[in-house]
Amino acid sequence: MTILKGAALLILAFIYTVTLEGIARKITARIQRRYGPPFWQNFIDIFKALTKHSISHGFIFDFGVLMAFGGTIATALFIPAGNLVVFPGLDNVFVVIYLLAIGLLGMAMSSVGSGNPNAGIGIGRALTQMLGYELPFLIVLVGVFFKYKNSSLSDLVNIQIESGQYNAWIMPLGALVAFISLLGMLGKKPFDVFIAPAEIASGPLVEYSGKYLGMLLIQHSFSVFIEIGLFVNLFLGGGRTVWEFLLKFFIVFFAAVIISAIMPRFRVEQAVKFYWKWPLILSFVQAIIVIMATGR
Amino acid sequence: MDLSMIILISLIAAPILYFLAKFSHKIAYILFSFIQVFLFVFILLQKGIINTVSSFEIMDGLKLNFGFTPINWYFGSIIMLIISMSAIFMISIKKKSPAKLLLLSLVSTGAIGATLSMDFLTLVIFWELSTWSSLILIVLDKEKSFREAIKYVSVSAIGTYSMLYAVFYILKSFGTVNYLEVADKMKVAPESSKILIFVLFGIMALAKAGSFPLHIWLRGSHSTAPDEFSPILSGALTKIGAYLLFIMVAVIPSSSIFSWLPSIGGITLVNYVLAWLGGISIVVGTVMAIRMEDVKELIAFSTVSNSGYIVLAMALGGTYGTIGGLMHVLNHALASAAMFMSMAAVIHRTGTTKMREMGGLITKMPITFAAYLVAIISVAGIPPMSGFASKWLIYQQLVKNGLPFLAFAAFFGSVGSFMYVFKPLTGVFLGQLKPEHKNVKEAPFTMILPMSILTLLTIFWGILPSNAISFINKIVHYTGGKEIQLTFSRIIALTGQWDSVLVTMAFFVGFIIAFIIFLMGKKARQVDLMDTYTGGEFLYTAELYHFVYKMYRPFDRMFEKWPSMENWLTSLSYKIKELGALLKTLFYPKYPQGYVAVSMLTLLVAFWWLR
Amino acid sequence: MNPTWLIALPLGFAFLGIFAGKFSKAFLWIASLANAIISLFIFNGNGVTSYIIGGWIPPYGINLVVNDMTRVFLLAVNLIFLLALVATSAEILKKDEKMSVAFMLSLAAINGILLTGDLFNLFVFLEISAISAYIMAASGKEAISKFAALKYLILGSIASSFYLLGVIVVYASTGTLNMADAAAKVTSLNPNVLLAAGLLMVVGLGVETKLFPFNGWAPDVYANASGRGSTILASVFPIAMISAFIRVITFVINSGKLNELIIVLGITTAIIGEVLAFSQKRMKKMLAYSSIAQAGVILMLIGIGSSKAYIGASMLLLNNGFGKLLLFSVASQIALVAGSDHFENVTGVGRKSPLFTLLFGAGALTIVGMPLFFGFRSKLYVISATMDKSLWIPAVILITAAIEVTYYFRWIFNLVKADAKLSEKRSPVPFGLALAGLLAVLVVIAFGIVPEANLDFFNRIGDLSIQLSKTLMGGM
Repeated sequence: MTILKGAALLILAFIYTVTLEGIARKITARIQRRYGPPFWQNFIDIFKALTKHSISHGFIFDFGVLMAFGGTIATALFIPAGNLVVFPGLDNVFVVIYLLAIGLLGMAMSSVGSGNPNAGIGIGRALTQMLGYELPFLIVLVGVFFKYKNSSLSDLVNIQIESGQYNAWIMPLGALVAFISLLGMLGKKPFDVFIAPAEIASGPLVEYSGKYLGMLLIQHSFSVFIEIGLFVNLFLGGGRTVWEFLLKFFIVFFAAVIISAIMPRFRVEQAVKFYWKWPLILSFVQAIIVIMATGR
Repeated sequence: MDLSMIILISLIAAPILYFLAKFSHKIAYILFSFIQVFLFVFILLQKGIINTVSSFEIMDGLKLNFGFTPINWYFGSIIMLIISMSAIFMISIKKKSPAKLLLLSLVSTGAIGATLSMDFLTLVIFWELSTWSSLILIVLDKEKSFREAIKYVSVSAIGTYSMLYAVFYILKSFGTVNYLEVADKMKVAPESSKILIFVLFGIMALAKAGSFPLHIWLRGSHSTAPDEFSPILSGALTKIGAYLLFIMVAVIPSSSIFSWLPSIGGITLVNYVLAWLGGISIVVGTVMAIRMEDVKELIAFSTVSNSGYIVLAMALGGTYGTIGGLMHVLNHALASAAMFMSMAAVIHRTGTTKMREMGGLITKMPITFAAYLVAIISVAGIPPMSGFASKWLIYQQLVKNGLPFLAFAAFFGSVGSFMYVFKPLTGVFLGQLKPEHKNVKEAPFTMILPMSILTLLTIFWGILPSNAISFINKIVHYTGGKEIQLTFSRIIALTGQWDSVLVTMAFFVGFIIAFIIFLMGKKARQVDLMDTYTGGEFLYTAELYHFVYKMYRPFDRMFEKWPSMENWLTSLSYKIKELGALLKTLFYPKYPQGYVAVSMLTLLVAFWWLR
Repeated sequence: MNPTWLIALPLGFAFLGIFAGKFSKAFLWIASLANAIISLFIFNGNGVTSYIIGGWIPPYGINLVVNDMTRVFLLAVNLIFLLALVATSAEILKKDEKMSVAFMLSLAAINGILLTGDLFNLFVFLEISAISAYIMAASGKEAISKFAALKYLILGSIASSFYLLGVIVVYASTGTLNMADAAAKVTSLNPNVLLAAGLLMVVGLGVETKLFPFNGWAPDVYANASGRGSTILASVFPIAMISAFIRVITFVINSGKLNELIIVLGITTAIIGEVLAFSQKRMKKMLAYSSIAQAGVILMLIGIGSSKAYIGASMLLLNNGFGKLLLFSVASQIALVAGSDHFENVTGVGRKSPLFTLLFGAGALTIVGMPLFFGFRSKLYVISATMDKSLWIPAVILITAAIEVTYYFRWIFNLVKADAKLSEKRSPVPFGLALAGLLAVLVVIAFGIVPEANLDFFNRIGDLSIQLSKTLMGGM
């Protein structure tokens, strides 16, 4: 049963996120007064890439991709999607966040293992930016966990649904901060300097081609699913059904796309400074309010 | 075998090995590693035994007391594991000398004696023994180490002497220095003496664990120590500080003896201050580690940061804090020793510690790379390695007590660790291979073996942290704390549970899916590392095409104007010298009439004062 | 065995040595060897024994007193003296034969100081030892050692006259010069008179024991005297001088106020000594200030005067004796090898000849009190004893100890530091230095690791001192 659920979740996540990313391209294009590709364009890209010839830069180049892909898929299994929960009670948020890191580490290793300095620069920027956005996000989470004395995603969803009060209403500042952090996690503008195509030739992705690129595109869509899924489950109460979850997912994704479509790009230390200023302060304020209100 | 015999053997081995090494380095080093492994196994086999041996009167009525309790066993095994592995590691190191062996044996003796001690005096005696021998050991290899080791000297002197004071203060007030008896007496002691004892012990623990503000010696000493000694310094010797800390917070439960002080978030003020120091050292260690260009300096600062975790966790106390802190001792000992060993292996082969002078060594030293990779995954606290379990428990305690600012420090260290552990990975193992390293070979077997053992242990306790936590539970039970609920693979804490085997399984399932997709695609063409996207240019110099120097320059720039916290000792030394100059002009003038005048004056003043 | 031989033998040889020319060097060896053996015999025994000299019964005549403290000190002094001779045997001094006479004189005087039971006799021996010390102080190669000796001479003469003045006051008011008798009689004295006498004596003995502020002579003398001279001055003399201090100031005068003053001055000495030693650029000068600091701690312990304090003080004295024997003899030899004992000059000397490092390192480690060495055990007693007196004293002592550790390790590191300037040539350690040095290392390590029960004689010193300072000194 668990295996079936897991497979269903992975397929759902793959199809839905890749579709949404296609739609996102369309939306961005329309905002920029272009026509834009069809919404299934991303499927075409992925499958085309998977079937093409490719080059490899050695063992670690291959291994890192596998590690990134495997780690991200493993993490996706821990995201409850409405009533589709693979590991109820065991989907600890810290596990999700740190398991996601193994995918990142694999990706980083693989791309730096290609020997291209652009990849190294990109990874350096990505890790630096990570220090920026993770901190406010995690501080907000401390408040959430403190309030519910629970850090299991599925439990948190159930609590929110039962009480009828989403965390976004109870702790609006926290939700705002988490959303800003989400933009950084997704690598959406203005926080996309680590994959800036024009400056460092797409950074980490510079050396990938063929099946490597295809796998990394899939990996990326899974990580989008994980990141937005985290936000939806933590702050918007997940969903009673899969559909409710997907709807909320779409809303969050849409908001992120709209914002990123009209933004310029931060330099990496600007991004970090930004995150360490208002989002961090607000997250502390939020955490303290929650802790005071809940009472130790 | 009697416990004091073990220590005696270890002590007597020192001069014997010294003279043996005069004849043959190889045999002496092998014998040394045999002795260390024997000592480790001996301690390991004492699991579950509780006994005390007292022998050898050091002062009237004061004997050396050794013994086994779960605490001693745990710390003793960890430290001897690291020392014995390093002992095997150094069999094939280049710079061998009899003096090193002598001092290493003394270090090991001191470490065993300190961790198996049953009273504070024994602890401080053996601790000091291992300290002074490690001090001299540090300066034996590298010229630069001279200035750096001095910092270690003074910081450890500050620590040791404050502890010595505390020990005699305890002896005078309570008439005993035994841990448990002191713990009993502390409950009814006057408030001021409680604080005095705690502060003095705290100074020692922080100084030796390398925690803020006494962390200043780590960078220099760890990085300039002989390469084969750094794993011991970081993995084993700093853990004795954690041992003292654990005794302070758990055996003499600081939370209960300071219950009359105000408490913040359910933590008494004293512990709260300690936790803050731990938090600051996490941040300082992380920031500095990210900025380092020398790989050993980087790992040294990561030690500062991880000691901060241990201090933070133990100061927080509670079930999860204490157990998380103890588990972190184990994790960091394994990981930092493995990191230092793999780097020592690299240095053994390449002869440099600067990251920008290396690169692409993965093809040449794959096993060393694997050891380093596993170690950094553990340090970064990423799931299938043991480091995650301890960090997870520490977060549980932070959430439980609702401490967002301390949680910030913990998260900062955790996310920041991704940055600093990745830098050596890039600089040393990945990227372009330097032409001069074309003929580098994998490290010799005696180096591979200990690294692999540490790596396998890290993986084992990563997949089954419940195994490690189950015996940490015994320690906590022994000290009267609350244990953590465990099943075979699950750890159940305040905010839910996680299943380590499940997480590992999920990862492997994902990996297999990835592998299947990978195999389904067309076979990739293997190309050279120089055959990359270069914007259409042709590049031939591999050594220039390697991005690692100032890798985090943007981050660097943000912290450039930070006040350096490492100079207070140097300026203190200038102040002492200035005072010396003043005293010299006042009391030791060049001509004798000055002395005579001062003497007469003293005589008159003394008479006037005393009559 | 009659302890008179300890004084008579070297004194007789010294007289002979004046006329014996080259043989005087041999006499020196014979005298010190004989003294070491005799003191070994005397060491084997306990209790208080008095030896009457010249047939006059004390308190009218002069007597020599052997008690448990004297036994230990006698053995230590004669042994260290012999070891110091061996350790510095490679050194060639100007007018070696004449110097040997001075050394023999000093040996006789030192034994006399340890043994005598008479205040005026003590003065005589102090004078003899001082005169031989002036000669030793002037024995350095550089002209500055003469100037240093002159300063010592001036301060030393003032000190002797003060001491004599103190003795006169005691004699005038009690009518006796015998220590035991005087100790019994001074209790009935006017406290102000006693205080004045005591203060005069403190100044007099303070100069020799290097109590602040009467120790201005010490740094220059120690730093510039010849190797043998400075080694003996730094390792042997403190034991004798502090023994005299104990006998006169605490056993005879035994005034509570004076003890307070000694505690204060002792601590001040320790602080100033360590702070100054910290900033020294010359090895022997650093050692000199460190000796001052050690003397300060010992005198402070004597001021405290508890049984533990005496045990600590005597341990420290012996530790300082053996440690400084190592340090000064090695430092002098290094100065010869490297041309000077400046910090920069001695860099890396120990790397070329590891034995230097071993000897210097062992000496330094025992002086700073690291475990496995004698110094650590004495440090435990020091802290324990001072803790009983006041909580502040051990704190100050430990702070100064932290400074001490830092600078000693800096010097050890400097010795083993790799330095390019140094020539590849190994500088061999003279056989005598190696032999005596290794023996001294063995002694400090043995004292550091044997169980307490084997060091019973220190406890006896503690017990003895308590009896004596309470009641009266033996040997009537």
